[in-house]
Amino acid sequence: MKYYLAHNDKDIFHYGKLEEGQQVDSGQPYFEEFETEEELIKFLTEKGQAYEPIHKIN
Amino acid sequence: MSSLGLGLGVNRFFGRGQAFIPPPEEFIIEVNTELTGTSNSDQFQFTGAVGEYDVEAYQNGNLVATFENLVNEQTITLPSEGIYELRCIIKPAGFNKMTFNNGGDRLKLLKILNWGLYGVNEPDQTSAFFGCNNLTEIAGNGAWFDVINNGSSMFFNNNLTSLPVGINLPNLTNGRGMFFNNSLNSLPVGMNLPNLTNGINMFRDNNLTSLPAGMNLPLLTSGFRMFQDNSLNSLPSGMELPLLTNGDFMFLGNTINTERYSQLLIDLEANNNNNNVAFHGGNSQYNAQGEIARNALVARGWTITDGGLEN
Repeated sequence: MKYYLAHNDKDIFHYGKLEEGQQVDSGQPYFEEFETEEELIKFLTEKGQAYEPIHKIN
Repeated sequence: MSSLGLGLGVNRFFGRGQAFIPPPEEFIIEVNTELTGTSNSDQFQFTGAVGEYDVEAYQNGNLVATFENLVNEQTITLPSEGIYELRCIIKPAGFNKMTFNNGGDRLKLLKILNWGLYGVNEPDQTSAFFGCNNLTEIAGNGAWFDVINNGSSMFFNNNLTSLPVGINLPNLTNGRGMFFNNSLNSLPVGMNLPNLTNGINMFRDNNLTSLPAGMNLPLLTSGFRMFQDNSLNSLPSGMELPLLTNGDFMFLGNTINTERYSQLLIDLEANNNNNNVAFHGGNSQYNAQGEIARNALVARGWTITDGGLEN
């Protein structure tokens, strides 16, 4: 798993990228996993959510 | 001719070996007119300035040009292209701020040598020096920083490696992107930020390894990416973040030691009543006590990313 999205399919969307050695846990009812950032963005877009790159904005 | 009665070529250093001490009311900057900007290579634009001022231009301590009765944004033409010390003599109407906002002559500004009366009546310094990529130094007489409540993007994309003691920001509430993408190695003692609520991107992309004792951030609500991509290995004792509602990517790229990170989780669980918070602890690991608190936060809808349970 590289990218994740924990959400309630309503108004809470917690997303991020798991780097080596990291762990994520969530109490949100839905937890999605994505192989690529594009897949995460596509999912967020379909849910009407904005996406900001996880590292530098430059 | 200067309003102070000085002629061209007058040296303002006092005697042999005695450096000139700038009058405290002057706003003094160092610029390089040759660098890319809105103005020509022998000019400097006071981009987005709000104020009334005279300017004396110095090279190697010698007065080489004067400009009187300037109001707001003005472009001055120097005798030739090069590096100048510009001393802005602020009129009674005041000098509220510069607003480079990532434009104008932002790349020509090298140093702020004296704040003087700059900004003493302007608590909103949004985007004042945003994009001044070549700004490497700011003056230490920054007591006027006490009046700032909005520093959003104030020093975003500068090249500062340190901040002088005295820049405490006791009334700052909005620090969004204020020091984003500099090269800060440390923060001054006394920068406690007791009223900060918006810390989005505030210290992101710097080289911080620690924070000042007393920076407890009791009113912080959004810490989104606040310390992302630094090298923090500890946190001030007493930083409990009781009002945090968004800690997404807050410590991404940092590794806080296990004992301190575990205590933060314990304090968050005990003192922060918000549910459904995203929080990123970077690569920090937690111990058994921290795990109990972490599990309790997750049960309240939190999403927590970190380095996992220490073996």
